[in-house]
Amino acid sequence: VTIDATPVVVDLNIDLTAHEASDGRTTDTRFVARKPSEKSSRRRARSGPAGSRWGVEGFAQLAVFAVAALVLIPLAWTILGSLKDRNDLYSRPLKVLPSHLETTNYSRAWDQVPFPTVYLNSIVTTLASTVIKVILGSTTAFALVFLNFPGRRMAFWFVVASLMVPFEVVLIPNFVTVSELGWLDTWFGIVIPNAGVAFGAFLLHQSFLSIPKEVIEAADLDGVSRVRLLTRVVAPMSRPAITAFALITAVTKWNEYLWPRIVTSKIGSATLPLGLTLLRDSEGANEWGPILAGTVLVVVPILPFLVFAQKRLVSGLSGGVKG
Amino acid sequence: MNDFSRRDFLFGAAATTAATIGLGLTGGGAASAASSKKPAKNPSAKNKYSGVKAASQITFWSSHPAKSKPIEEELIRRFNAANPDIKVVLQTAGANYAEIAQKFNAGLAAKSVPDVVMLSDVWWFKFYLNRSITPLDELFANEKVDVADYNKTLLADYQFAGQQWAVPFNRSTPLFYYNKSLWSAAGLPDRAPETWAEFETWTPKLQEKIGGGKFPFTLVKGDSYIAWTFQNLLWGQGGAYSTNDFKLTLDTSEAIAAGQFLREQVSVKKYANVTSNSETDDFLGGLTASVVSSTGGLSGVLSGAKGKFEVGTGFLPKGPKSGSVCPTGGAGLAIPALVPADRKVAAMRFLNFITSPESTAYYSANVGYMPVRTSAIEGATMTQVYKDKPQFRTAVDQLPKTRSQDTARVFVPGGDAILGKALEAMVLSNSDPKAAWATAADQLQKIIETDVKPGL
Repeated sequence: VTIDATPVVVDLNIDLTAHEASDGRTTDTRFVARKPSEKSSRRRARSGPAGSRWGVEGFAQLAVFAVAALVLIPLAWTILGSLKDRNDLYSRPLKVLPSHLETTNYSRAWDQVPFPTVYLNSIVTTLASTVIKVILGSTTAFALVFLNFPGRRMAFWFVVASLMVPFEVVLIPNFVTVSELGWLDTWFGIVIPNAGVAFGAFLLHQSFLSIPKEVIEAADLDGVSRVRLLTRVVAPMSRPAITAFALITAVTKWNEYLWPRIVTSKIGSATLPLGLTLLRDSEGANEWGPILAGTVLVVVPILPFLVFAQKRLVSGLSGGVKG
Repeated sequence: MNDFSRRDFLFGAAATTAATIGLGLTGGGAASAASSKKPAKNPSAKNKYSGVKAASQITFWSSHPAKSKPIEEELIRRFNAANPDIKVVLQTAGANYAEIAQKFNAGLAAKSVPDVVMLSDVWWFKFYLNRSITPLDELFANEKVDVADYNKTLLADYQFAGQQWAVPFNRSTPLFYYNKSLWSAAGLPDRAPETWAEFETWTPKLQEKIGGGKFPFTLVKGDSYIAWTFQNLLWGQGGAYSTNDFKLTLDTSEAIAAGQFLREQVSVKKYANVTSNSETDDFLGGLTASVVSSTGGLSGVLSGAKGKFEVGTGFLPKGPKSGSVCPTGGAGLAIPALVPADRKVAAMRFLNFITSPESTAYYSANVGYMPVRTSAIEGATMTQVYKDKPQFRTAVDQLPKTRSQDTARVFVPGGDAILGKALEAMVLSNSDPKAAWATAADQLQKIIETDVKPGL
């Protein structure tokens, strides 16, 4: 499978880690919001005497730069490459900057791929998939953590077990189902079979567990309905986990290749990564300028979304329960 | 010349077919050969497609190899002009041959398949084994297809059990591409090397002219490619991946010697490297003086090199042993078995049209694949093309010197990828060929036992 968008996935995930690291936190706080007391005690235990604290921070800063470089260099190379002509792209020794701006790469990419159509399909399916997964994931996790019903533990283990089934295994059965429902070449077909929430339910389950029992009991005493309990109490306290989950879902869906490839045949229902392959050539010469330009066009729209989401993520991490 | 095809071992009963292939491989133009291949059943039996009205719409799954989408669209436009009552919908079913096969596999499970599907040399047989493609002989007869005009070698690649399973469409051979400017700077004759031994006397001069960090020769890599072009070295050493009756021959001294030669090109003699992505891109970028690559990319290579250097093409170099050293490759078009009769009739009308002498000449001239009709090669379009761009002629001239590919690569599902992994281990991690072949042979043997033999 040749997917030009693959590096994007990697980049954006690393990016997420980078911002957390810059906040002085370790990655294990990434998904699980702990009680403030627990958090600070951990930090104290780890930091030790004042002398080694600087060592840790120095190391953290170094790590930030290293990770930022890992993210930014491929991104910068893609953008620079999209503005080079063939001679610059193939120069030895490497030319970092283009000798002139070859903007025709963009118009050529735009001519070969129906970008408005594939943008629309990608935006709709990514948004729909993210919204559905966040709603289903948080309600499932809520039920598993806060509701008492027979078989709750079994249900939890069932969710965990389904995490172990790779998507490739259910590809053909899913395809058959989608086909029989008449959903081939539709947004439904792209979104619904992947809307299963085992990962989200598990992630949020762990996050909800860390919410102090006292908070829930107090809300219960006040007679707060379950829906309000989820939306007004639990969700705000688990905002970092929910945001992280939404982010991962959105980026994964945006870059997804195999499933849309199988389930769509018409270009009218194709998503961006499928559109990009129209720029590739399986035999013969590739035009790397237009390919890189097309890749930039895929990455650009999701960047503002990530910046926005990361702000929420960081503010969520520094929020939490007061007192 | 490999007169005794692998297929003879498998269905020796079908004597007429054996005769066909024998003739085909000698490149003879005997017109009667292919037409004798009609179903061996009672000749007076009614053709089950006679009187079936063609469906009004069909879909065609392609991966547009060598950026052929605009050319395919033009051929469809011409078809629709000639057959206004049949609409052809072209769909991109993958970025390469493997993705099409994967999507077709999923489609079969859901009974959601196109009417015409592009299947490459290494994929069509898998779908024959599970009987999911249609035998075409009755459809040929019904549409009065001039079967005898197809190039015998290319047509015979899709014959099995006495039947035709696909029509050759985008068919290729590997070519030896070389940079003429570098060749003349190095004082070499303006031709491809006759043998690999000759090439090795040239490489020091080429290395000197091209400079450090660049290479006289670049090897391909990846599924569908490395195990395809490697047959050149393998056959040149007198070896093979397997015999025609699926007996693996990877442990022979010839196969090991061929692997050793390949490995040493990179790690001992150091005149070759392995492409990081695409050997033709490296060639056009001036990073290598020569490559062995598909004729399918010829059009793209010529336009990419325009204004920079002249491109020469030649036959693949020979090895120490005599005999054919060039495989054919590329893809053909098949009709899924699930498709109803009226759509099959329409699909065959379309196949006949886009492989017609005129269409195949148009396609060949604009992409680089070989014309699949004998009359097209001698026709006006191709004559002009060969005059303007003599490089296009190489593949056709080389065609009579080609040899059917080894069963382990093309008839064992997944065989190409397994062999490719072994070869990549030799050139990328300098693995011992003997060990790499042994690993590959284990995997191939299992597939032969479980997937191939029960389906024959």
